[in-house]
Amino acid sequence: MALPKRIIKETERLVADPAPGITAAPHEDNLRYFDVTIQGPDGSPFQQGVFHLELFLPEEYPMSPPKVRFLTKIYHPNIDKLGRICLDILKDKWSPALQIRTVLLSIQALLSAPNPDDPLATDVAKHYKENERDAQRVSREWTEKYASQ
Amino acid sequence: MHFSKTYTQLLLSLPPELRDNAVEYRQLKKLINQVVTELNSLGLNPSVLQKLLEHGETIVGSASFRELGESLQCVTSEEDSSESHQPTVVYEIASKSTYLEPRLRLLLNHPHDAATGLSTEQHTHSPIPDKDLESILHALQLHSVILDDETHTLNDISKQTDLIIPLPSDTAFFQLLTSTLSSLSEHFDGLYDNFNSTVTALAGAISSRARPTSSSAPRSFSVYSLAASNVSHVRPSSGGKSDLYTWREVFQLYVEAEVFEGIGEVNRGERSVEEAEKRLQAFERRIKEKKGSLRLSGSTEALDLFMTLNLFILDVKKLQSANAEATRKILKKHTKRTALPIPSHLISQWNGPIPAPSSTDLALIPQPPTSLPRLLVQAIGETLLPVVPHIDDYSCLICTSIAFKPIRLGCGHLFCVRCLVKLQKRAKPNCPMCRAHTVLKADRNNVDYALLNFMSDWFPLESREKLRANEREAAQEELDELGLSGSSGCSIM
Repeated sequence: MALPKRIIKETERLVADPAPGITAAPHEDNLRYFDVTIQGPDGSPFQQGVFHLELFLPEEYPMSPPKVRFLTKIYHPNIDKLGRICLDILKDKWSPALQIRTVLLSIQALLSAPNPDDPLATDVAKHYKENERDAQRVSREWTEKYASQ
Repeated sequence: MHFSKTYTQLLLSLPPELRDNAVEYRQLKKLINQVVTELNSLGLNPSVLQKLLEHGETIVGSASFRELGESLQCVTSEEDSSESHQPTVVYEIASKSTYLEPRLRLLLNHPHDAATGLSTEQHTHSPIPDKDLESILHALQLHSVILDDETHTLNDISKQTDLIIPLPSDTAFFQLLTSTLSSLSEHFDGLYDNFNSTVTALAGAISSRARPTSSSAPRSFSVYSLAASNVSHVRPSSGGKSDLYTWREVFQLYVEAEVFEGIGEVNRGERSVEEAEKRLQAFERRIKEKKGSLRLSGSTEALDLFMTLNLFILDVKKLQSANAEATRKILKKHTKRTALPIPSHLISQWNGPIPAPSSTDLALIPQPPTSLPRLLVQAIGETLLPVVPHIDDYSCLICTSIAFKPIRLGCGHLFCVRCLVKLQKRAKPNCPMCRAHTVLKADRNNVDYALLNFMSDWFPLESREKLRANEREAAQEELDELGLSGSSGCSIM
């Protein structure tokens, strides 16, 4: 099936005018599958890190949300071992007016503002709640170990 | 010399009405020479002056420059009595109502009331040799300089604390500079008004040539007043011909060319002269191809005028940046040749893109006018471009095609009928924009007919295309729902 106009437009803009700290490039053989990188935001324990993600636009997109997953290991209360992300707009709060760009910006923002009260990785969330400084130290270590270029 | 030459050449390339208001670099340079001669005749050659001023600096604090005003008294009484024979010079710029009057203040034999004194332990500079001072005073006498509060003569000097040395050439220098700059900013105001009325006239000319050919009955969209009012009283006289699509393409190309200002995430903001020139040329080349498709009389002329306006903006931009550069350079030269320090905040105004507003500095040297090119670009963007409605303003946020047929939800947000049908089929109640529960309530009555007519007038091709696509998609969906999808492999022989 032909690629919807919307996906073509979004892709063009992502490539031509990327958001700061974010890249997204579609696979040549599957234009619904994107290789994504997000830079860890300054001031967060993920600073200096470059995180790889994969993003897939299901047939239903934009009626249903894109599927996004971290490929780089990351120590974050809302991201689990498999790289799955706990973010409301990727689930029930999805709106078809949102875009790939806005989703990736939201994920970048999630790195700046972890939310241990709505955890996906329960052990990390517990760590963050009990001793935030130590948890951030581990996040930094992981960033250096897995996300440095 | 080098800059002076390129500056003159650049000015010659500009139209006379711009050139005449440029900063007179050569003239100012001559005045600097005169200032130097004048100071030399007072025995104040740059190196002597430098020493005296440096000393003044340690006394008065960080700035050897002071603005003359209310705050004066508290600064002059800070001399330590033990240093009473050490002369000190302060360069100050008195701001008279309309011009600047720079002068030197010679501090001698300060009174002993060090009540509010700064700490003076740093007075370890070698004192100026007395013979220097003598020669200065002698020279002053020759020039019959008026001392201090304009009433005393040199005979009173022992009683005096301050000696004021006016600097006529330096005054002339600042007067020339400030008057040029302020007349320039006035001139810019005039240019702006002129430009605006040209743009408005051009907007009228273009809108009558880019008017839709079809006209759906009663036009009553007050919401789109700008576009609608232009159309409603000037009806086609050209027998159904219009340059609507060509003009739309031209404006689209113009917006994409980002000639004067970048609109991307990374390259946002005003462009340099060189970059703007390059981009304008590229735009001009692309426009040439479009010229052939303009059919109505007057359209080609309007396009030429449009180009002319943009070239004018480029010229203004050139003048403005050359002027800023000339001002910066001449002030720098002034400091270098005379050793008279121009307060740094005066210079920095000319380096930064937008000077920080500050109350006291305003009077000294007029601010560079708020980027005139920027205002002109704005005028084009606000007056001219909206004459031809842009598709992006009428597209559905979900499918990004034109929102045809347009459905206005109860919350006021607009989507195309196709996307809303899909949302309803999936039983999604929330408006995609504001999450209000308006989607499932939408029905036939939510069609925005005024907008629908507007769209079929201004975007006839896009509307028709979208309608066909909608029908195709709806038919396909129906087949899918019936399980008769074409992909099932069933074909009729």
